[in-house]
Amino acid sequence: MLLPNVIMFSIFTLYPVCWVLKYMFYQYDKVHEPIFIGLDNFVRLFTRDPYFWKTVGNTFYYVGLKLIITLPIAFIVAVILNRKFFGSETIRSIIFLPTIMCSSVMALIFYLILNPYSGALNMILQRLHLIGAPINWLSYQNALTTCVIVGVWGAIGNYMVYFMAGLQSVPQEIYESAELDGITAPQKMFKITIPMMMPVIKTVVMLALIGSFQDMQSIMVLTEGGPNGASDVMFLYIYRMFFPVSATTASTAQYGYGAALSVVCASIIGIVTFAYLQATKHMDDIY
Amino acid sequence: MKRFLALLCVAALCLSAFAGLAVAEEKTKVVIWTNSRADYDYVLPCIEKFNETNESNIEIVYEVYSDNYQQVLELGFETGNGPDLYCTSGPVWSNVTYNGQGRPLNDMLTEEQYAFFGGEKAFVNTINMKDGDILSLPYSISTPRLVYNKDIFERAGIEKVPETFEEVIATAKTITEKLSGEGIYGFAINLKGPASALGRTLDYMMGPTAGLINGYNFKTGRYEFDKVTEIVAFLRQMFADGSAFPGCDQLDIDPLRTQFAAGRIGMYYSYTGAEYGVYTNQFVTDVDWDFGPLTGNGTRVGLQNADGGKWYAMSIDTKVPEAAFEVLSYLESLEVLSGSYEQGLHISMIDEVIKNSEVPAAIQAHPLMAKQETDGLYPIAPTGVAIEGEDYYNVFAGHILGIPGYEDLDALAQDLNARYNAALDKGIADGTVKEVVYPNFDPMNPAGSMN
Repeated sequence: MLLPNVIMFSIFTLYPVCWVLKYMFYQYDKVHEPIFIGLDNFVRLFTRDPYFWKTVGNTFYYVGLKLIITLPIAFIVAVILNRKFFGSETIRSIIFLPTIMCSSVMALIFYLILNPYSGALNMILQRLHLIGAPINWLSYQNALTTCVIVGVWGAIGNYMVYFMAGLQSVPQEIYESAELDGITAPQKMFKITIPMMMPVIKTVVMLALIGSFQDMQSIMVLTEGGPNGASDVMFLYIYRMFFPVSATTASTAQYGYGAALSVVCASIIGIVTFAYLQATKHMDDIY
Repeated sequence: MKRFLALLCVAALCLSAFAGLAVAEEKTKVVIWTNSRADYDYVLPCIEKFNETNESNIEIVYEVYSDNYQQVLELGFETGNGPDLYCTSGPVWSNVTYNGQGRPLNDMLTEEQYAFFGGEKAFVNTINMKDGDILSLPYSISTPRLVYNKDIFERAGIEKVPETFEEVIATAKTITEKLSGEGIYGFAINLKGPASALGRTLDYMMGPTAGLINGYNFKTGRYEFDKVTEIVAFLRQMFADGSAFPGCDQLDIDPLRTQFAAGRIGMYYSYTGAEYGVYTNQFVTDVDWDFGPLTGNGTRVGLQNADGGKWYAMSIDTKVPEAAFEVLSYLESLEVLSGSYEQGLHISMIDEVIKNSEVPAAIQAHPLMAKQETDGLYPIAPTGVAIEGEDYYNVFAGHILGIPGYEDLDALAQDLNARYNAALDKGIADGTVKEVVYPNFDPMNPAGSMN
């Protein structure tokens, strides 16, 4: 019974991990034979590659801002839509829709809306006389924040569903007995709903954290990490090590360095997740 | 019962016969991938005709890919789902075909075909051959020029097509000052992808102004980016003047073309082999446009590099090399090439095709589309050089856009020299990069001085 699972796990999980753990010590461009270079990929990463650390900084900015915006909005929307009213099902579906859309298509649509030369947003703002000249939403200064907003738009529906599942797991008897004691609506929220949902919130935040660290598809389509790395994130940087993009000239894949970057990035996410779980241990003790 | 069994046997026999027929009728599929969209409307009927008329039971499956073509191609080959024939223009030649994916065609190419394509002068190492192996057949020649809107020039009172850096800067400024109120700007460049933008400007301007390709000096075997800073400074100046179209940092080439087709851009740089097809078939426009010369500093030290000498390559992994070569021979036949040339969809480098075709209307209308005496085929710079940090496209794009941290152009060039030459030396030392030095290299005669 276990054999199919073991085979699939070995092929799709174990083998890639072992591959990465091997080649992080090699210089390998897939054309020539791999050359063992010891720890040089890591030396380069820590001492000779400031661009990578720029992508790490961008990633933390992206993750932090995305979570700060997404989770409260998703929670509030979940609370509102958890009640049945006319059209609530339709609104839920509309908000959930971006989650099932292909993120690259979504990003392409946002590019058409936001680009500074023919974007719909600038046109609308100009017709409403809210701005004089078009704003470059994807400029060096604005690109990363714009990517966050696109990411938020795509994520709210997903976390809304998680929060709704959590809200529905809170026993109704607790609310009923509290109402008999004359509890107010804000008290209900802060004294019952949120405390009872702490384990769910903890899990949702962890999933959002890991998911946001790995976001790259929409950024790749929207800005390609530019201009000049302004919106480049660490997984997009790794991607380019394996699939170097150059429209007109020779560019060389760097599998070995990409493998080393993957290990370091996975470690960064692991450390952040571990720290988060340690810091939120008490959230399990609510019940 | 016996009758039933007999019926069953007959039915089984019929089924196997039909199955046999089905197998016999199964066609040999030859899959072609390309990133060329401009000639799609011409090539497709040619392929349909081949599929209907060929006697070898071959079916061509023709697939066109948009941006990220090289990535799609590499992924296809890595997963065993790659094409049999693929367009090998631009970086795909050096990154994919030259790096081992191309199947040598020497054993299949006939003497007649060799002569048809131009013989020795058309088959050149690093351009369509590697160490004597023919990896692609000669086809077209294409190189960037200045593309300008004649109507805008007229409205802005500009009479002379600019040729030097100073003239282009002044022209862009004049257009912007006079017409920006209508949303018309003097100059645009597709800097969303710095490699694509500078690959059609800086890379081709550095041949005539500095005798380099990709910053590489074939004579010394070193990268010398300090010699190309005047080109970068020229492009920067138009941004500093406010003459650049707003949002150039987010422009891909096709959105740029749509804005040009809408009459909102005075000048940009692009390829002779692409723009006519683009504005005839893809983004049809009423704009009266033409090619001007690629901009220089007024003193020529080398020819202008032209991308050419190759079209399709055959994958080393193809299971049907004979069928693929039959398809390749058809696509590079006089019939197909002549039709494409006459329609202005490519600029032929094959004398036989030029001789047997009418001068295309496109070249009559845009004379600089044709190959000029100042255009030439350069060898390719060393491949496989693994750079640490940002490549020169990103670095120079940062300067052109005026991004903080990229202000000091000389320091940027020195840093690029150091990093590129270190990577080159390392690659040569560990055997992953082949040293490329031509001591007698003459940029005014690049293909003839590679020894």
